[in-house]
Amino acid sequence: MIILALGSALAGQRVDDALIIKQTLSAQLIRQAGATSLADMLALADDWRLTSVDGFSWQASPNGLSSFTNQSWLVLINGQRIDYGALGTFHLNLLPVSPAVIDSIEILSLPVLYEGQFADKGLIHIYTKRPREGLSVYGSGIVGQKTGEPGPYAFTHYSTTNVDKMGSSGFVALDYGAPGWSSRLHLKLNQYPFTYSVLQQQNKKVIAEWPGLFNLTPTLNIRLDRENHQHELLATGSISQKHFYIYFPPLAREVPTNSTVGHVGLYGRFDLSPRADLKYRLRHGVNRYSKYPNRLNLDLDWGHISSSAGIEWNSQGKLAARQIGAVLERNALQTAYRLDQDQYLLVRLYGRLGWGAQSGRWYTLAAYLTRQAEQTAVKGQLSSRWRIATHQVVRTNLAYSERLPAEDGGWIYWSSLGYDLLPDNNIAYYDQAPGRTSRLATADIQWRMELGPALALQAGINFRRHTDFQIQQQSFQLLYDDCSLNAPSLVLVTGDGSVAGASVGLVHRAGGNLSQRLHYGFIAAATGDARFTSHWETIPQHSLSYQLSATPLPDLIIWTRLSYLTSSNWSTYSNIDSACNSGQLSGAYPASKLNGYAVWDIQLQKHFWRRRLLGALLLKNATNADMKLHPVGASFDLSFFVRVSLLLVSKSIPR
Amino acid sequence: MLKLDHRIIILYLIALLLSVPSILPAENATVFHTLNLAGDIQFNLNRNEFHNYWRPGKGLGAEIETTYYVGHLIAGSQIISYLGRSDYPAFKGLFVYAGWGLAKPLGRNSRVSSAILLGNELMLFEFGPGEVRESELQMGLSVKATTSLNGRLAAHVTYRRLLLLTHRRIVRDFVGLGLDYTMKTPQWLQNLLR
Repeated sequence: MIILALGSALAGQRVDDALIIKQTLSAQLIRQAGATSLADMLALADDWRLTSVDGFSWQASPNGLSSFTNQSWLVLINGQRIDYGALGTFHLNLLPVSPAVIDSIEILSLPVLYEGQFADKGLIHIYTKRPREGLSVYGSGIVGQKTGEPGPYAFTHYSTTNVDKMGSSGFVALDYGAPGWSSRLHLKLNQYPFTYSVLQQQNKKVIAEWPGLFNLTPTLNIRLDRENHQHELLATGSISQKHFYIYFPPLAREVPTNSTVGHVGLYGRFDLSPRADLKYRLRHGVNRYSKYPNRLNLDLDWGHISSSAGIEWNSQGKLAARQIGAVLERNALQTAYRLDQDQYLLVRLYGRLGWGAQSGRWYTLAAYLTRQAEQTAVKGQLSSRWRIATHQVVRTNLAYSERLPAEDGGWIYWSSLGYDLLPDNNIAYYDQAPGRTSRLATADIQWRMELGPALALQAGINFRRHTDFQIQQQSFQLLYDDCSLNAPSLVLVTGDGSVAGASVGLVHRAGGNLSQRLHYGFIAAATGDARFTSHWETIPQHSLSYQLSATPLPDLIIWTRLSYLTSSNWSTYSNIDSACNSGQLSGAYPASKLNGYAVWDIQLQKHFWRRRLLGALLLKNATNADMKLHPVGASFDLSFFVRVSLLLVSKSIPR
Repeated sequence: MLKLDHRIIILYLIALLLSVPSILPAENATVFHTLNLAGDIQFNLNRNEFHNYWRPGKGLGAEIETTYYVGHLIAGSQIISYLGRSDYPAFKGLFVYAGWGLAKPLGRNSRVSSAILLGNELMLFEFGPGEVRESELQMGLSVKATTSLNGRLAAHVTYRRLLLLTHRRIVRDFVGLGLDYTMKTPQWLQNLLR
């Protein structure tokens, strides 16, 4: 990577760490954190706000780059883009990795050119651990339960809905590492019931069976690591043939579906000389959601196929580095009926120039063009890193990004080409700005000061100017017979406005035994028309979190996290502020304004069998705070999880 | 009496942890070195709304305790039958738990210990032709007084207050009377625990 090469040339360190403002979740933090799934890792992203209806699929708003309704943030695994986003949600838990095989995660919350992508809506890059030498067989299982069962009172007039298990998941992995190559076979399963009574009851009305999710994800990963060339194959699929639901916001309900998502990618690099290399990226992805028989005849009928081929040339000099690349991407949608247009091509060209002007100052200038049919979108970035004092660094990032509707490739774009999910479900759909390119201009400044070998303070401010920002306008009504929601029309409008944010953080590490992190973040619409500012009220303005990882004893790890989020206001649901009274669902819906909440998670982990066996006990929402992330979504009551990880065969035991 | 809430239990855990510095950590060699096996008969003494529906019988408890770097680790189980009043179904409650606590010697032959317990209670209901199961997280506080009868055998009395985190919380107080037997931990078990 050119940026990395530049860093080596200038200071003997990784410049991608130095130049790009990002958050890195280390291997140690991931190992110690109380994350039961990949989606839980999102909660560790400082500047990302999250929401979820069912607790399995999550929507994120990355640092003011987009709201909860536009899920266009990117996910990479070892540099390979995995596109599991569909119908308004990115299904993180379907990704072919488990927390135990993750080495680190980088979170980008500002627009930058990164691994051949322009991440104007945020990016998560997951690096997996390299298999150790020889054969390793290991696995992990986790079961959880939400408190609040009826218990014995189920047989009395105090009876309440059974909340059932909180879900169970697990994986087994078979690694083999040898000089020059390695492979991993990984099989992951997710099982997740709906614990929220409204979702349970609604889904029972749609299908008679157990209202939950179950899916299986097999994966093959092979790496070839030679002196002058490296290649990585990642082939994976996630199959849910009976139990899978997607919460589709315009319908305000979970849609049962058969799901098959998959990815095959081959990425690699040839070293042309000590100062130049050539990268290639080949990818094919499938997102298929077909009909599962149901009483409401709901059918997503969505078969999105995306293929891309990219090539990138990098070179570095003493004080300058260059990168140019091109990507050809084909997107197609397969449906049971004929679309006006069922495929389109995107052509992407990009380049980057990095240079060091003088000691302590580094710059990067990047440009990115996307062309589709007759439309062209321009994106660009100017980043700098300036060491202003021995222990103080300032980083800046200015970016401008135009985004074509086809770049998202979501249901909104395909609806303009004939995808008829909304009309098919009696929802009139009006797009008041068809084909309009949205624009985003951003400025980010971050200051970081090392207060000693163990303590660092950082602060940042950011500004985002959104033009022709897409907003879905719906007004839901409550149907009292089954507490479901209905909105007869959806109007797609655009709004202009700006979002401003600030953050302050303190990081403390005392050797390998103690680390603490305190973070405060603020984000809010600063200017804009009424619909723009109202839309951004769904994002909690203030967040405060404190996280501690400690290893007080050789075999015991304590992790705890306290977090606080302020209230949010969802005007789309303002007409459902009256409680629903339908049998057990009485009073199920709260007001469209969600209260702020403070949540405390705590986890204890203990090693056994000389670190071959690990037992973990996690309490989430230990104080049982009233935690809701979506007006019609689940409440996240006190839950507990037990995890057991086992290393069966290995030459060496991880420390 | 103090209303038992899971927050109280968590605060108690913090209080226990805060008291750790006043207690000398065990030497590495003594960690997991001894194993204390305990068995007792238990009585549910309190009465509240839950007991308007079910009448508790006598229960049995079994517990294993071993020394840790600080304090001691506990694993145990408790089973107790409840008879339904009127037409409410009888059920057996099986509580399987883990715990951690601190002990303080009282003279040469006695000691008092306190612990926090966390586990799952499985409830098996005799309902109709089949059996209905429910399970729920349960937290508790325990105080135990032990006095030595001879080198390895001891008698104990325990008081424990358990909070079942059902939708409608259930609080039960138990008193147990029983015996302890102390032995050296088998090497294979020490290896597993380390």
